Amino acid sequence: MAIPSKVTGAGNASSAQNVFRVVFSQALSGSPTLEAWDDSTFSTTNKEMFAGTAVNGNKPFLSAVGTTDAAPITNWKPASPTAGGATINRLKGLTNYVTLSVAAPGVGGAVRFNLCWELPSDASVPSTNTLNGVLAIRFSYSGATPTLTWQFNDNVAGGTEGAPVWTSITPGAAGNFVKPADAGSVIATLAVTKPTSGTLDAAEVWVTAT
Amino acid sequence: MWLVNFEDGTSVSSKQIFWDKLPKEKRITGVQLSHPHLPKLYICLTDYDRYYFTQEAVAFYGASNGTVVAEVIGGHDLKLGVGIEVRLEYTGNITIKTYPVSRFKYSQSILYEGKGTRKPPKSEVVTDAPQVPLQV
Repeated sequence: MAIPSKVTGAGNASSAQNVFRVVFSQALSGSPTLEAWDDSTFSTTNKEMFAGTAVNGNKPFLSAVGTTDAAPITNWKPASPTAGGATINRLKGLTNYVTLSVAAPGVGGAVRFNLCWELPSDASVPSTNTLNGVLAIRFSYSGATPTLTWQFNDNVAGGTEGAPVWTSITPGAAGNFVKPADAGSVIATLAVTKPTSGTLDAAEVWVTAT
Repeated sequence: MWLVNFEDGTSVSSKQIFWDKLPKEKRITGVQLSHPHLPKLYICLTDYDRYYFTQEAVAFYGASNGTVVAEVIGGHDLKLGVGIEVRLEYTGNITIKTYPVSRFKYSQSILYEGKGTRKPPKSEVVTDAPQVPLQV
């Protein structure tokens, strides 16, 4: 386990399948979905990361692709959101979300996904209250209550696409964060820089302790 | 919370067993759904060929447990090829939808056979009520 760590294969310039995953201890009755919200009340999507800006065409910043059943093509980020669920989508509550698998995971089954942050030149700075949404998984079950284990492919621990090293993410207020970062980032100066014009896809994604 | 009635007159509820552990050999005559905080509310489906139940939960990033936000019951009329689904949110909202059975979105393993004895149309119903001739 190595947190903070860069997430192997994360971002839009990647066709990786093993980036993030969630393991379910019990069988589900349907395909789980990945959503993003303002906070853990899962009721609003008012932040800039959902409304977008003029430069990015007022689209959600955060995109995701479900990689459970297949690897995506490189540059998988969709130009626009798709209403409802899709394998690739820009995330905004229940308006646009990602369906993570074709079939319902069985006992001990997992779903996998990748994330991409698009940053427009007119994004607000600092981004403290604009980029800090909450990721969530919606799932259905008809038997014993599943517990979830969220994990990422740990670059510091030597994880690769061919031989992933899955490190568990700690939840809660004292838990871990997922952050977009510039290429070549190191933890001491972890930051993401917005472009001077147009939009930029964050080159790296990190899991951090603060 | 759900309650199932079987054709042999017995019943079982979610307090006793998980839905996916219901006996396959006993056909269901009806499924009832109630709200944990609205004890006088009951929603019931009867006379369908197949039934299902699932509960929907949401877990935020990293969390090992989800929060249940809704319970769902549904029935399939195989002759018509139509499913009905009732979604009872813990906020109290209720949504009812119908859909083609071919677009059933959950696992087949949560479907249980119903008795499927659909009542005849009202015009064919014979009752014991006295027949009163219309006054013209």
